[in-house]
Amino acid sequence: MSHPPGRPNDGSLPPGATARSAEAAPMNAAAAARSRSGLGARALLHVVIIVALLLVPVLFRQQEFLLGLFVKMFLGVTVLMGFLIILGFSKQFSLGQVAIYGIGAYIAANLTTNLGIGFFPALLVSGLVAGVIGGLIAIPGARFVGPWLALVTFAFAEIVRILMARLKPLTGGSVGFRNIPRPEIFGYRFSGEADYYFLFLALALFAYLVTLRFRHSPYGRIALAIGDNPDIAASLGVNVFRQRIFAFFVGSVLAGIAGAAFAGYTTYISPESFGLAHTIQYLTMLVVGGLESIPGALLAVVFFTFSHNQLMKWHPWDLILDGFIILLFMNLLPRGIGGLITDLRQRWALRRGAGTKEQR
Amino acid sequence: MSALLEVRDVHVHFGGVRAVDGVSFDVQEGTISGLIGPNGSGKTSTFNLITGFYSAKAGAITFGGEPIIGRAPHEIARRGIVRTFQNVALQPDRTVLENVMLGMYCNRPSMWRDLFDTRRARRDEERALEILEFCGLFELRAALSRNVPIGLRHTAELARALAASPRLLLLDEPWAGLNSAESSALVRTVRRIRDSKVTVLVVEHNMKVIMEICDRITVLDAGRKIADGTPAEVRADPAVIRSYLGTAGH
Repeated sequence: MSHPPGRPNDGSLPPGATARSAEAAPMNAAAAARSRSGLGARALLHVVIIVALLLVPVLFRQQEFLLGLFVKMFLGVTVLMGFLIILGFSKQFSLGQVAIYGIGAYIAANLTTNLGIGFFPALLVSGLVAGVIGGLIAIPGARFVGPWLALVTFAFAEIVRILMARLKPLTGGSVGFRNIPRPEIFGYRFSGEADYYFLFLALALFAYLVTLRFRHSPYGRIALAIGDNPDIAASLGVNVFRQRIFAFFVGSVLAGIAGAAFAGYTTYISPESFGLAHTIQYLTMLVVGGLESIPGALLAVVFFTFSHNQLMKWHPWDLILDGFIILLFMNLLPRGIGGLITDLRQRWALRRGAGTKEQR
Repeated sequence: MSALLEVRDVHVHFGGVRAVDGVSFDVQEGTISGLIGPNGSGKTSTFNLITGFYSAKAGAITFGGEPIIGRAPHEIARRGIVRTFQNVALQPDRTVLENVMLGMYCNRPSMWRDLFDTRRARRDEERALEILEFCGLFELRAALSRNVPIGLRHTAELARALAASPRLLLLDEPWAGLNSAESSALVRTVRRIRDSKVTVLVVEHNMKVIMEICDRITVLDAGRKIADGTPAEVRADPAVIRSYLGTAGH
């Protein structure tokens, strides 16, 4: 990296700035200590949750239904993390997330059933192809913003749905694609819910880690800035067009992988599973989760997976109750679960800050 | 010696309105230059031209000897021209520190490495804190931008622009709405920026400040340049007195 003469590079600017004022230094140390203890608590929380999730299939091995519910939840997490990157972070109002997820499912179904490729290589290929397709949508999409992008991606989702029903040799038409082989690893063929439980837990963890790293890297800050105001980002040297496409690519890879795993789980897919209604469900989860909050989105998936399951008993009233719950959420928590988490954290930090001041 | 920035006969038209109508001026390296004029005289439009937010109908702009007209805003920023906005454009729901860190990704080589190397983020944060301290905003680092006092918001934006390591910094009315203490603090900051070898071009209505800090001033009126020179020359120019100082007060 070459700097033109006179252009300050790292460290040389601003001069004298390194001499931190005396009062600022202890404050900074205190802030560092606080964030370090916060880091410890966070790591502990992660370990506890993961251990608990690993114990679930051991403790409830016989309860296939419960494990199936967890599988549904992990699947939701994987798709929603991708949606979070596209819509939540970079505010690209896409309605195509489930269509891309469906594309992943059909690609994997074709690869494993017709070409005899193994499940895991097919998972990888489906993810990448879905990512590329997502990136391609983002190219015209990056010229449109807000409601216009929603329209473009809505049209895309409809086209995909119609193609699924019409391209019979590849999709089985509207009756669906049957007899997709179950995943196999080192000669062991998946059978019970517990097997799938671990597969989908691994996928959800992968999606979570990708999203977490994305969010806290320059990519995430840039995506959020583009969402806030693309002119700001461009004025600071960000190639807004490219970063929008990249966010779309990453989010679509996660959707594609989720779709491929779904095909291997149900062994039967049809266009019905990939309609717009499903995208709206994910959209609802994002909004209730706080739009750009990772923990908020996770809690929203957990909540809606289990609430849908409870409400199902009262069908068809469940749909009305579902709408009522969303209304309630939006009234009580307009900034979603993520907003609540931020507020609680801030209050906690303030109380701690006040405590240290008194000690001094 | 050729100037760092050369603007030659540029035009911006909106339908029949000639917002910028054949403006030419130079900005010399290492100076603080001013661009002044009554409301609607084309100052911000000129900024938008230089930074690529508007495309010019005709004319030429060169930066460090290289033509930059027709380039996208991010390409111009990467060449070293970074701006602030007239209507302060911070990310309201992010902290001041997060806002400044956004500036550090201008010209970042192999950004994908950041996904694996977390030490890079720590170094970024250190440097962003240094810049905040340089601008006198260290205490506000953890505040959300929406909670930053109005008088300091433009300074926060300036800190973000500095994070992008500019060679030329364009400031659009940074003194608007500042009280006198904030105003003189910003004067000191801008001078220190100039002393650290960053050239500054500023649009401003506050005549007292402009006359105090600028090495050279270009005066626009109705999209045309009417005067150009040192503060003393500009102040004495009859065309300036007639069209600007004469009507807008002293």
